[in-house]
Amino acid sequence: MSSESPRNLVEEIFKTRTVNRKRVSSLFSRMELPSTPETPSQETSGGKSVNTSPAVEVGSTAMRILQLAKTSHGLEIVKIAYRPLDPEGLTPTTTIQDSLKKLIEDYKITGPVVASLPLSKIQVLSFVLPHMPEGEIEQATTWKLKSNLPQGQTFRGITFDYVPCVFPQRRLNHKEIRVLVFVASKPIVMEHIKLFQDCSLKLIAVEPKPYAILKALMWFGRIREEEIVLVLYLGASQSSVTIVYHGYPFLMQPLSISGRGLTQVIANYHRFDLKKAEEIKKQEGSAKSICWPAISSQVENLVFDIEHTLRSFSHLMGSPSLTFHRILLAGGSSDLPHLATFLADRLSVPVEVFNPLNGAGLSGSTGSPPRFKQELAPLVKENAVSFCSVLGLAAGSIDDKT
Amino acid sequence: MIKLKNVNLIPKEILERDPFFKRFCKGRRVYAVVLILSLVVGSLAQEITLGILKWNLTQSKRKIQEAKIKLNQLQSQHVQLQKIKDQLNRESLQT
Repeated sequence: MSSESPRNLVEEIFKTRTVNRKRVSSLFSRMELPSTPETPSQETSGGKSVNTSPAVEVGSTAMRILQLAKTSHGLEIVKIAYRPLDPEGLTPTTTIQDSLKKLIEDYKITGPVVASLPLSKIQVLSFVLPHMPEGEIEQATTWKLKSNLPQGQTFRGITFDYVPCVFPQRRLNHKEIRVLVFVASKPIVMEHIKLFQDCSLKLIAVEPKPYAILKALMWFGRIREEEIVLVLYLGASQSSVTIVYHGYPFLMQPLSISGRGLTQVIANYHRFDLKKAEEIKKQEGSAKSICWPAISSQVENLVFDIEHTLRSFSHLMGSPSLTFHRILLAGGSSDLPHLATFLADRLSVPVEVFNPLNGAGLSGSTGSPPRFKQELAPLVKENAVSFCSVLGLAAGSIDDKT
Repeated sequence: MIKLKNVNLIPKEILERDPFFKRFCKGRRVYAVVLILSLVVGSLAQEITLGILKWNLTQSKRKIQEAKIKLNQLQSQHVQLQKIKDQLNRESLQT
């Protein structure tokens, strides 16, 4: 007879269970799980700061990440990143996914995130509803949308959200409610969700990019309630104009001008390559120099579009003499040299460029400008104006948490 | 300060997709509480029953042990008495 101990059949069958278990009673045992890393959206430093969900933006030329924290001292930038993509905008989806994976690995982004969708993938509709209780607006908007669906779309194939513009009754004597409806195709949104899912991130909110910019401007107190402001978003591949009336986005329209479009016309006009054209554009901008003959028609069209938008707005308001108080320029191409002065001269209104990473730009609702413990990376500093939308997304999620 | 509402274009059916247990508990909170309580009470009852059985088993084992010792003692006494008996028999035969 062998002296070996008897075979433990149970252990042999269930040997895949390698995790240590501690017996706590005759019935139950507790699994000793490996400790999980802390998620960024947790309270830190003795519960004094609340982190926002990271805002991740996959733009046409770059990816941006921004995470804010609300501390007892004010706002603080927890994470900020900028990674350029192919400047031609021809990056295939797989490369975008790989770049995003690498970026979130480098910056240790986990948990729920918020993102934006460009205006080119969204349709903005404006509905007028009779005055009604706020609880009934959603139902009325859905009904109105069902009867005014965008061409080629079915109600099941779209997803939408809306912003009701409920103006103060007594002051403005408005008997109607304006509703700005953002409509997107469901497959497009699902594609966006899948992109993040493949990178092990949970997308909890998708906001239209121009709206996120508007939120950033509002959140940082750059638009006052009593004024009519025209927000001009100039991005690398798309632009839009929004009229903010009494604190609400009254009209939102896409524009034909874009940063990349300007580079392309300079390259075509002077027969430069795109890199050189981009350099010249950044140096000269809309100054009456080498760039001007190439981009003059585009910039003049922009002025025409702004004037047309104002006319539409005046017509909607039934007041032909209506003017706006300011133009706010935002987006990656908003810091084009001399553009602000050109627009100010042509339209005779003050024009400001919103730089969200400038201390003055960030002195928001908390009263003190946000701080960043480390020095901002040169690439982030260089492209600071393009951080408007991620800032709006991040600021929106801090409101949800507090 | 003007505060704009958050806009979210993620379809509602995806946002509202909860795990099965959460979905089960939604609107059935009383059932969920009763279910959890009954589980707790059941496991407690089982633990107590097992404890009593275990105590009984220990007692029985002790009794068996005592009986074994007694048996050993009686057996050794029996052997001694047998020896005495044999000796007495031998003595009677000689006389």
